[in-house]
Amino acid sequence: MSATVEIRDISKWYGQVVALNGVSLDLKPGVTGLLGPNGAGKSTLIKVLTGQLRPSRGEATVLGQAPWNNPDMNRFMGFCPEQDSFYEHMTGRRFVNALLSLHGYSATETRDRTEAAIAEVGMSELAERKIGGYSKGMRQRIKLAQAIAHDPQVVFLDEPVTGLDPVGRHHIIDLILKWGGEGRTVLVSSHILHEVESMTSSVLLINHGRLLAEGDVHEIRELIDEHPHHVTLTTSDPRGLAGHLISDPAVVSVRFDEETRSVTAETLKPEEFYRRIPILVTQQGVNVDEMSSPDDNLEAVFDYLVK
Amino acid sequence: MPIYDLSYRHWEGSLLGAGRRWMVIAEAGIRLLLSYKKFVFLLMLSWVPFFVQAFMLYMIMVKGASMGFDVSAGFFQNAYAVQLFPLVLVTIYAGSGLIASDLAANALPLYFSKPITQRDYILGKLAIIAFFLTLVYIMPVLLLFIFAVGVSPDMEFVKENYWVILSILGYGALVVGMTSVFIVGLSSTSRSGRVVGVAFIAVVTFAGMIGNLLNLVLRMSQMLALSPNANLIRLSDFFFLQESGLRLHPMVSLSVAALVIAWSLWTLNRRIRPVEVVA
Amino acid sequence: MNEPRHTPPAVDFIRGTKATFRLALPMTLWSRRTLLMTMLAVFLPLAAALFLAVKAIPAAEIRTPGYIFYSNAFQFVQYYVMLVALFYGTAVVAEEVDGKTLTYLLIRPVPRSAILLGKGLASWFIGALIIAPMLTITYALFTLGDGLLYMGNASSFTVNLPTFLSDIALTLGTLAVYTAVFTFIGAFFKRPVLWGIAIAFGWESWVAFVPGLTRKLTVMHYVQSLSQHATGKNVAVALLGQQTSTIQSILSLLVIFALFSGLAAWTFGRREYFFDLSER
Repeated sequence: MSATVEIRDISKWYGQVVALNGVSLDLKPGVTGLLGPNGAGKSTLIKVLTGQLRPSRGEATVLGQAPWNNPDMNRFMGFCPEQDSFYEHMTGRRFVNALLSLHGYSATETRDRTEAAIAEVGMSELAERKIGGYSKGMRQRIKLAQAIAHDPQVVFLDEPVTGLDPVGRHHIIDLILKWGGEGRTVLVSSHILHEVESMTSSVLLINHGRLLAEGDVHEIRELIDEHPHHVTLTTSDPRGLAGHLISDPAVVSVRFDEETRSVTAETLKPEEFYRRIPILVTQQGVNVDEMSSPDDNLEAVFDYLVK
Repeated sequence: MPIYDLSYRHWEGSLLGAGRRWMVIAEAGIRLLLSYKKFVFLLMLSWVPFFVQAFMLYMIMVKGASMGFDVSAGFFQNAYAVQLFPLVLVTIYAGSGLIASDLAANALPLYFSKPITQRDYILGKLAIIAFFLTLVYIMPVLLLFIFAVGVSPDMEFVKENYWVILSILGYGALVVGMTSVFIVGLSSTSRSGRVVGVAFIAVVTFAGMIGNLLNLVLRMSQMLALSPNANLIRLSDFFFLQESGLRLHPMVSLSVAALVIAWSLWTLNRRIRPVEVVA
Repeated sequence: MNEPRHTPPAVDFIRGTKATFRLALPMTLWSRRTLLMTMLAVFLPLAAALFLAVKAIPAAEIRTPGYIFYSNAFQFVQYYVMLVALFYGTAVVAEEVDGKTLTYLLIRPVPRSAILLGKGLASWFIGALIIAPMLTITYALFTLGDGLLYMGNASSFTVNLPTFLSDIALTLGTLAVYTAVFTFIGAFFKRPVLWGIAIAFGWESWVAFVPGLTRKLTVMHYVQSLSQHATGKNVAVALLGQQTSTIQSILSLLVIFALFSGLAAWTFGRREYFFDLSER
């Protein structure tokens, strides 16, 4: 499957500030998460890809075309910006319709597509209200509606679920998954890690303008084997379990807490450690009620990479 | 070994008095504007007429040159007329966004979540623009007068013109006060400093045009009361004891100034609300 | 999978301009800016109406024809036109930047120059919508005051109609030129209002009346040269010594319009806009 978006050694600087530094990546159809803290360069990267900023160096192509000052490419691309800015005096329907009218559709088709987009984001009943009177979540949905009303092949979403309540967030994430499943190329930027995890396992980690890691979150995690895993086990005999674990060569350190009945082991070989636990339970008669690892997630990966 | 308490400790020192809290807003605003290089450049440019006129003063009073006018009250009245353009530019640059920017950023709730009142906020904003207008309008003319006193060969100039310093201060204070209140009031009516700036220039210039036209058409010189420039000329005539020939009573001009201030204060009182009563 | 889901229509320059014009027109029409300009525009017809009322009073003894006052009023209209162009022209780009809504326009398949032209046209149209009726009503009221017989001939309204029609054309043309100039100012400078004021009330108001070649670098000089009003000509002749011919003035205005429109499009086409400096 060829890449929809190709970036080769893109750098972008403003005076002394380097916003992007030698970023190279490919995006294929499906959902990709772009993760990084504030100021990491996420929005700058998206703005380069949407043709709003010109790269200082390097090349970017979206559907085979360079995006900078290429309005024709915008026929196939949708963008939901991060800023909470609107033509406040317009109703939601008028806002989507007005922007869609710039795409060259007939009046009827513009109207139909507007209604479809508004319905897709769940704003049909509120579309006649002025945007100035919308809640944060409603504003976010209308922003998404204008991004997809023209049925774009490539969609860039900059912090799309910010400000949404849990139900709204769930709905939008479902939409994003649906768009990715339809074969669109969707790039979602966020700093809310668990939300990105619920949308995709394919992530790009960025910080200080540099790409830190790219790929499946679990693969990334496995590759960082210098970073110790912490595994927490709940047991009725924490002291006893700790004693068994401390002699295990896969274990680097052990901490137990009799009050919470938990034992936390630090290991550099998580796979080996996981194999040993059942043996401990069956052969040594150790009781384990619960086992969890806070490190097998994106936050841990990111925390490790950015430090 | 004593264990020191490192938990939070409430401030037990003295607090700035309630009557001085507006100074915090004023100081912050002044510092912010002074951090803009282009604005500082504009302030410096505003002093160019001062140097030109100081040179003229020197040539007349020290070198005895003849320039078609003498150094008297009229000279300083004219100096104020020259500083009017810089006054307008600085008013627009520094004043348009004073409240408009806060409205655009929805900053009023932030301000009023602190122990400041509506009066503190308005006073603070007024102080910002008044500071810079004093710098570019009153100070150059005042320094010109002091310079004239300094270079005069004898006491004749002081004997004849000692009262002019009061005129300079009085007229300057009136113009700076009126302009400051007006631009701050206007700034509270919009979320865009740019719109406020153009609205300021639109009202000032167009009111002048209409006043002149109505005077021409209706042959009623009191129509000149609509013209800000005519009012300023008559007020300066009043303070500097001059006659410009404009047939407009200074009391009318003073009433117009009072109206402008009253409108501005009324608008500010309506627009700057610490508490919004919804139901 | 990389094939487009459907083929959206292409949007060329003309289509893009039309679409942007249709988007910008209602937004510009129902804005506070338009309300303020309309309120200011009411004063001129009001002055004319007052003239009519006062002239009706025999004791007032106003013998000067109303048309003369209209001629004087026309001079003010030129400055009003400059103000309208300043207000609307600087807002073409600056309003979208201040409101952070420019992103929505830049990500549409409309060329940037078409966005600029569409919005600029909408601004000009609204300005014309305010100015044309204002001038027409003012002219009608002033000339009505001259009665049915004007200098022994037909009514002042009909006698001076050709001049009035050329005034309308000149005013709307001046509006277009100034809108182009201030649109460029708005696209180029971060603080377009200050620069606009310096140009409108500094350069245009003073340099146009300075003898020599410099005045030919102002729009006002050509406008004054084209103005058919005695007042304008007297000023031109008295202070300038020589006017520029009609053909040359029209051509110069067209050149200025084309130059600043092109500069505005070039500037806007190349500029990068940042709305969130923290995300750099």
